Amino acid sequence: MERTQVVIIGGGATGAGILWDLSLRQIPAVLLEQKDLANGATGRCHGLLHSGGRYAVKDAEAAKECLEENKIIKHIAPHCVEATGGLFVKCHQDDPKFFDQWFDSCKHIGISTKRLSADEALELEPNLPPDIVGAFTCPDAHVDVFQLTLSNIESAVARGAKFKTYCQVNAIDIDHGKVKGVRYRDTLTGEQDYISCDMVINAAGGWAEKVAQMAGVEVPVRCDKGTLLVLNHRLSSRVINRCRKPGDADILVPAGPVCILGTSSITVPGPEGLTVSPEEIQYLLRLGTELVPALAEARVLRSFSGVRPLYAPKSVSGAGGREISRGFALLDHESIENVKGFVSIVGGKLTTYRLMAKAVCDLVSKKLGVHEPCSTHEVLLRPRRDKAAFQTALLLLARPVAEKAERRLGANLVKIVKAIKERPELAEVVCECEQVTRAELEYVLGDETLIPAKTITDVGRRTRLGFGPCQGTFCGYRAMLAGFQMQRWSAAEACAQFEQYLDERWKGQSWINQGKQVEQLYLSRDLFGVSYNFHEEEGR
Amino acid sequence: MRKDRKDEVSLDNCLKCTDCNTACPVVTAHPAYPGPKRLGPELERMRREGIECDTEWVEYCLGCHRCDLACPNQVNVSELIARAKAAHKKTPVRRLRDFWLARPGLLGKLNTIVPEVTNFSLGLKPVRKLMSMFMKITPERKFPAYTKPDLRTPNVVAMNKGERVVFFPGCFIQYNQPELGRRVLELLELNGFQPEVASTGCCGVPSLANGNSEEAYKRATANVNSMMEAVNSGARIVTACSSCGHMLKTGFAHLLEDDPDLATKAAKIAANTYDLAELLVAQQDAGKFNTRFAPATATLKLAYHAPCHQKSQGIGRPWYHLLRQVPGVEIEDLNAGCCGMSGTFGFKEEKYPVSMEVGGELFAAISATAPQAVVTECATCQMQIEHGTGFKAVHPAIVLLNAYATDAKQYSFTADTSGKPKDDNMPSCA
Amino acid sequence: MSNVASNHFDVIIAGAGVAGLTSAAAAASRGLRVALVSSGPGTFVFGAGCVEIQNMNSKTPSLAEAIAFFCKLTDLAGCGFYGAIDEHRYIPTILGSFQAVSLAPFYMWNGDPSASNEVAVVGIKGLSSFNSQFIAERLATHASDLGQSAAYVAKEIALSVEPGAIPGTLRFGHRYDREPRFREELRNALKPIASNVDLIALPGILGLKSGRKEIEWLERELGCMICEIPTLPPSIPGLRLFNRLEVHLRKIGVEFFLGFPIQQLLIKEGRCKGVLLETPGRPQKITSETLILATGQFSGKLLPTPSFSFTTDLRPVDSTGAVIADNIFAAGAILQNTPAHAGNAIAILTGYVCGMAAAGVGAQYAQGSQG
Repeated sequence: MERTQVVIIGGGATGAGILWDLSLRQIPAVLLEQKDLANGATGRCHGLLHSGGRYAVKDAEAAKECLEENKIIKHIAPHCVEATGGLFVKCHQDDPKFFDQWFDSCKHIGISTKRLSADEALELEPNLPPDIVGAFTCPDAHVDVFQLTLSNIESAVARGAKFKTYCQVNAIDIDHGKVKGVRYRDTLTGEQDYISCDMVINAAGGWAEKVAQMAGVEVPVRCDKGTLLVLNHRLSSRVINRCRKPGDADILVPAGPVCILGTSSITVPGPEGLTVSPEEIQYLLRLGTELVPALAEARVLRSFSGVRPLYAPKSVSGAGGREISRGFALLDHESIENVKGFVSIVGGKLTTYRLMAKAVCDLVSKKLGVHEPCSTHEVLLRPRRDKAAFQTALLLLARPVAEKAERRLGANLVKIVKAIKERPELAEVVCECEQVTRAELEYVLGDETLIPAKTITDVGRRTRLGFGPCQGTFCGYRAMLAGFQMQRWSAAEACAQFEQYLDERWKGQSWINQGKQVEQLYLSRDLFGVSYNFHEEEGR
Repeated sequence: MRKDRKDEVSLDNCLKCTDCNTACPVVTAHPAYPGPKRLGPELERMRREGIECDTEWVEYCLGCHRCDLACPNQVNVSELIARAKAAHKKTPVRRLRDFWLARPGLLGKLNTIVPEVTNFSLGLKPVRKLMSMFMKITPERKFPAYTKPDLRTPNVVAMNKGERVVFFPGCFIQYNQPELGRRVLELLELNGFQPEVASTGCCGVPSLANGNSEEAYKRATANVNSMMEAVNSGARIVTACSSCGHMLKTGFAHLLEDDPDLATKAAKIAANTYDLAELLVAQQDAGKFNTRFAPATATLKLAYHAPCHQKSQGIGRPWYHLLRQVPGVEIEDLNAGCCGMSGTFGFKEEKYPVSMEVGGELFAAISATAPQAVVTECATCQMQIEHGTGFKAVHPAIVLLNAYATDAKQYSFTADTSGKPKDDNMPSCA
Repeated sequence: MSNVASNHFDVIIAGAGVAGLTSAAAAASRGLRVALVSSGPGTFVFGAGCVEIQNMNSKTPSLAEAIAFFCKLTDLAGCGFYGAIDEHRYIPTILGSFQAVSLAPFYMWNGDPSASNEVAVVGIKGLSSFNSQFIAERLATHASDLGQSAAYVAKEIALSVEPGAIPGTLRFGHRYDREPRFREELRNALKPIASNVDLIALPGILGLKSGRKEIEWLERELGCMICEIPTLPPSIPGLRLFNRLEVHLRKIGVEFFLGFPIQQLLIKEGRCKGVLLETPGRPQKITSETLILATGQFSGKLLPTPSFSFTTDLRPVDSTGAVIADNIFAAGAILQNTPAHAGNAIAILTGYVCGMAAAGVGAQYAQGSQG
């Protein structure tokens, strides 16, 4: 029977951050994730590293936290951040009083900002509406949520921590009011197992309420669905915010080659079975068009939804999604319900994931009698780039391929370079839209990586394979073959994998009922759906 | 800065279906060429992400527009590549060479001061060797012969009172084939037009092909301004060179889109530009095409090669159909792809092998047909065909003119590249 | 002398898919002057044009005639289809499954598991998107599901690769067309495998322009049957079908306007006069007596009414049920309001019927031809 000190439930940014923090404090821990890392809210957000500007007027405290964390993450995880900068755009139809209020609040909090005239703003971002009043700058940035989560896990694993993906917790073992361990099931193999531990940290986000119930306690979570749209190419080079009271579809984030518009805010019963209606997409596009008119003609690649797990104790349960604090809550169930060794962390936002992890780990350390202070604000998440490897990569690969591989792999680029040197055929680009080489594909599917991909979708989260216009139609097939060739899957398993993968990709596109992506979807279906005797689910 | 909403949309149209690659002649000829899908829409997405995407390969694009035609979704593939080409960093030697290749008008002016001297020196082996060494111009090819630029608007007194048209000769006719220019004017007169010669320079295609969009912009501006009066007065513009024609119809509008005034003018020029054969077909539809052909005394076996810039105009195959009406002419449409010359491309030393490989299919088709002459309206296609096959290649206007039963003498003209124009038997069945 | 240069035609066919090409052939075979306009070879870049006759009544009037016409057409073009309405064959796919078809080109027809006992699935070294091991394993499973005993073995051959090239089907296809040496190299590489099996299934690489002569040469030399499996785009067998049909149609006088989408249909007083093509400079106008719309499932917007359906004789009607123009016919996927795959049978049938209707032959053909 496996034994550890702490079990973390949930492999989002927060859980990953906790694993890393604990590993730095030398507290043995195992993270259990029911699907893949960053599969929940973490992987279904804008990837916006807030500067605090969005909360400056309403919630100075949250804004300050964001500002502080923004700086820290840029420092500890530069490979995950593209410091695009951001604009808060003053639209002529919005309240001018808010503009001044916003500027003053930022000054007060310490968010560096500059006033831009309409012409200056349009010079920087020609896709803004020509009739804007002006804009403010801010240090918003894009953060690659997958890389961020993976880097936390990778660094922790390098220090001896463990994680298990596709492992669903089905019971928390409590004896005489004290946590003894957790029982879980590997959803890929179907095997049951048990880890004995002293403490369990519930970092399950939208699933936190369900996990808490296993420990017999209550964690009221309001699931607030946000839908986002991925556009085929960058329409801005900075994060574009609308300078007004936060609302729907008022942020556009450039993220790699694409840009992401969002979000909506709709209370839903739970974190699963999320659906998007064509009306919701039209609604987001209509609002987004007020901020960036080019959206009207832009191609939507896919839509996705995630839930913000908002902490909603009874006192605020009547409020709407945006009224509940975006701050986080740390619940020590020993002091509340007298369940020893069980802690929950809920709410919060991606930008403050490290702060949340720190809060949890401070509490857990105290309970375990460990006196090591938190150091996640200063320890780099990954060694600095390997310049020599990059130079060699440039000799083997086209420049954009090498550049993208380096962004994703950092110092691990050297492994890809070595593989291509040994087998030149690995230089083949298998995902054209995101410039993923066969070498990288084999790396993430292989045993050399600390966090191997188990499904084709996992490959996507590690490499962005399938995230471009074709949505996995061509590269998904190649990834399947790679998994088969590397004996990760049998032929039958590979086929099943691919079927599941395409189905999920198709679903993400099927809500889009007009525009070019529909033709792409039909192409994909024609290619695999019918011609190849390969049938999707009925209906959409 | 963003240039064009249309390209923004066009970029989004790409379904990654690869139709463009299958149509690209360079993909056929060069095993390592990444193809239009990658060089165009694929890299463009990443350029906008701020990734360094410059690559030598953009230099290999022929600008034939076959990718644009193959795309089922109207992606402006070649336009995206052309922009990458304009931004491509070149070595100093190539910069120098491409500076001159981008300016055939200027070259023409200089080389025709004393054309005999130019032709003589260009014909000398040592000169060609030096050009290979210092300019990276292939010594394999002969240069087209230069002739005194004496193409003028025909004498008004002697003219009929037909519809006014303005003939845009372009550099090749201006400096190398003024004789052809005169035949075009005559052909127009015979078909009821009152032609005049536009006082313009180079259309700008070579500038674009050599990645010099500033020069192309200058050319476009000058050309548009100089032809506005005629167009405003209701005159149509006629081209006999398919590349000039393509440029007048699309290129000017693209280049000048940022200036509303010039853009409007460019659109008007575009809407009133006709390929010579296109104009003659329109004339035929109006019942005014001159069919007083001399009776055939022999058959004339011709093979027609449609230049890429003719295909990209979407006007069908007017020359093919016009010549089919000439008594005694047997004409076959070769439909065998791109000739590989692409204007100045085939002159570049490092591109020469690709140029010849691209033309391979066409050369084979010509040899298999074994015509008395190949007809094609593009001067550089003619050069490539003669170079690659040894068959004579001529402008179809010559054949048509020769077919008329006028008292006019039978004109002889050839685009032989041996150094100077020489008279020999012209394709004629009269 | 009749004006053979004019841009006036007896019939304009919009779309160069299976439906468009079939109707062009049908109309041209009846002596009409045909223009075919299209914005590209479209869907031929994937798949291979195989024909399924599913959910269709095989007694549908003129179906047999249309299918026979199509078989003859492809045969004349050098890429002949085998099969018949009531035939069912299974041909292998890159997913290692079998696609049920009624007709398929000769270079795929023999892929049916009943046609052979020993099959070698042959991959090419470096052609990473075709995994013979995977396909052979899956085909073996599916063949036994079909009650067939054919045995599948995976093989790999090595072919020379030019410097700097990454092996791809397009490259191999071009080389098969252009280099006799490459064809011989391929034959030599396959020869040892051929002696032990009765069918070689290989990725579609046997030329973009090749016809029966070039492909049967290889079969003859090897002494066994060959079946190509279309790969991820570009599908060489699909492009071959398009190229061969295009060459054939040009030969019988069809005028192609390839690469220019239709900007507008010129409809006046219930008749279509022609179309405006989106061409450089200004729209190119071409006119005709009849228009056949075979523009695929995304082309409904070309018609003046946003939502439309069709009469039984394939004329588009507006929301009130009135015929939009009495000389417009529709063929192929445009007839379907759902994205369901027609398997090309409807394309052939309606393409043929429309081509005949344009020639004024038998309006009765049209009746009930929507399947």
